[in-house]
Amino acid sequence: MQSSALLFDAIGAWVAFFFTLMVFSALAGDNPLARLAQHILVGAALGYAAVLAARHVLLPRLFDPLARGEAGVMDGWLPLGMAAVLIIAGVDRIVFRTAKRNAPPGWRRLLHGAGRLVTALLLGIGLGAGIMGALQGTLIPQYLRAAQIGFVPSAPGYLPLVGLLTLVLTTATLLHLYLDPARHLDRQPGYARGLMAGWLWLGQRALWLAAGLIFARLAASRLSLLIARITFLTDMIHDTAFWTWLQSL
Amino acid sequence: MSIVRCPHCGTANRAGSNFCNSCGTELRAAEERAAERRHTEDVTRPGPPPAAEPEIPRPKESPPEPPQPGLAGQPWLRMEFGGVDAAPPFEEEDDAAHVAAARLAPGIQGLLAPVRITVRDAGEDQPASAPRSPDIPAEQMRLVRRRMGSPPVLGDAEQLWSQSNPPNLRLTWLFLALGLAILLPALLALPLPKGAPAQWPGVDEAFDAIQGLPVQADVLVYWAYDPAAAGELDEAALPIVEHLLQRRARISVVSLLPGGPATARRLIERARLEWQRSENLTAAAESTWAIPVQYLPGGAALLAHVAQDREEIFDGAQQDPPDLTIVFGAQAEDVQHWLEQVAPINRAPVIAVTGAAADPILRPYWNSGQLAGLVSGFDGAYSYQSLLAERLPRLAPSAALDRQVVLQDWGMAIFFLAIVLGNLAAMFSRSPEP
Repeated sequence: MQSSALLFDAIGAWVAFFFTLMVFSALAGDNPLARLAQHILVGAALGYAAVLAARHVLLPRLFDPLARGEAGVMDGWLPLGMAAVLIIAGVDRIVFRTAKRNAPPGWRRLLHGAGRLVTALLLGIGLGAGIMGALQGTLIPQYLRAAQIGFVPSAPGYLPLVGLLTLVLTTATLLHLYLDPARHLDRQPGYARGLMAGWLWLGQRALWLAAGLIFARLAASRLSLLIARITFLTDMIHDTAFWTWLQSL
Repeated sequence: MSIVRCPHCGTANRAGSNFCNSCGTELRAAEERAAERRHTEDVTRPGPPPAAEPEIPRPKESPPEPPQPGLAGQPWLRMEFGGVDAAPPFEEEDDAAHVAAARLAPGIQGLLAPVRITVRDAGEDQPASAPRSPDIPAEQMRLVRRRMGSPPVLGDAEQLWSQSNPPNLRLTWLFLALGLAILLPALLALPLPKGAPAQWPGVDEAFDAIQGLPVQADVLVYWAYDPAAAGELDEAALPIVEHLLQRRARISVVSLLPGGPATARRLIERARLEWQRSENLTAAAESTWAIPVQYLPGGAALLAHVAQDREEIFDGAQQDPPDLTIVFGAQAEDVQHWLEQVAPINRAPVIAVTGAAADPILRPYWNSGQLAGLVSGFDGAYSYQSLLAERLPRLAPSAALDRQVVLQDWGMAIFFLAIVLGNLAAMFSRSPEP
């Protein structure tokens, strides 16, 4: 048992090694090996997800309770019915869309309407949860925090200055994004044009700075992934007899 | 609808387009070449001998043929076009047509005549049939068409002209240099100097929050990454899971990703082995802390279910609210979803462990107190591991993290060089402004 587990581990590591090389080969240009690796990885991931969903969700939480006829069985029949309507409507749309152009459209209209009803229900739940969550988890706490900073009597003296700077940079960035100097500043008096031009200049620099910061962290993140993959490759190479022989030379 | 691919950038354009919608490359020539190639293939392809064509009565008056693909009537579409003075006069002109043409500019895919898009001073009385303006070089015409056909982007006139002759970005060489800078030190195990990365705010607080947990505290973990991001997130999650095991926390894991539970089990097993080794424990001694890992489908809308019905999800072993929740998320949205859907309901303190890219977006949540701790990227992981090794010396420092720090330095050095050399090249190769 132990030896077979080790064998499977070794096979898995070598498969991962060769798939990593195949994916990396795309750097030298598009080639069949890289495409093959990508197709296999996507297919395997989808197949794995489908098996997980069936085994850990559909069977224990839907079909088993329905088969046992447990109390509260509406909880199971309702999503099952919705899923059935969606699937039938989808199959009808995909398979019979072109084949039955002349069929009487009554039952199809009914089916599509039912499918849209279910989709709208799911979409509505998702949107409702998302909007309420954004309000209670992001917008209100962030607004309250920003509002509190300026009104705390014991706050250190530099905080109002930081708040003012934040306000100036925020408005300058928004102005830079939404104001077209050629269209909006032409009819302004000279002093206003100069002031606004300076403010826009500041907003542009603030935007560049923020974008640079985000890009730097993104580069560090992707570099970490690259390092992890390359060190996986080098660790595999270090474990081979070939490397041992090479080092003995 | 048939499409034609741009030979330069690969964007799909409507068949018959003169210029690419994305980059402005001339498509007509490419389309003509493709049509010629198809024709040649049809002619040279062996096939059955053609059958005798039945005679079809032809109508006496055939409809007018569509214009042939060519540039004879549209000289401004040629790259060698010298300016609007070389254009044939327009026979029917009116202001309404000018306005309509200008409004349609982004949608007509390069069919715009130069007189429509050049700036015309309202004070000058120029007859539309004989527009006069300075000669416009072909490259600038191409640039103007590209700008008119693309959505508005950040930029001003100075940037716009500097884009007219952008230097080539040799990605292959950049990738090669980056790959070699990481591969060679990793392969040859070169003894390289290692600098400590900056310690960001939030790491100390995350450590203190876990260190302050009572024995057998109830910790809920939201596992929001899978093998695609494991290369980065594993290194950040490992010291924290080791710390939780060392504190004898009762961990329960929930994930909305299909690959999440397997990733969680693999990393927890790795941390458990490290912990066993450091504490000289046998597997039997710590087997009492079995860690349940649950997969939930349904996306972020289902997260409220985690907050309200945790007892049902984990078969009654847990009580709400937990003493601490930890989000291992590859993206900022994973943490945001938790803070929006779960944290307002169960009110448990939250620690976020994320990739480096999520840090700038999550920093306001840390500043507002919604996060009790924030550990992001390899530098956050390194800082946490350093705290762990300093205050709990039994846990060995991670060799993988040390190697990550060294190789990050090499990768960043390549990025720095590329930026410096790129800027120098742009400075010395910039075309004079018009």
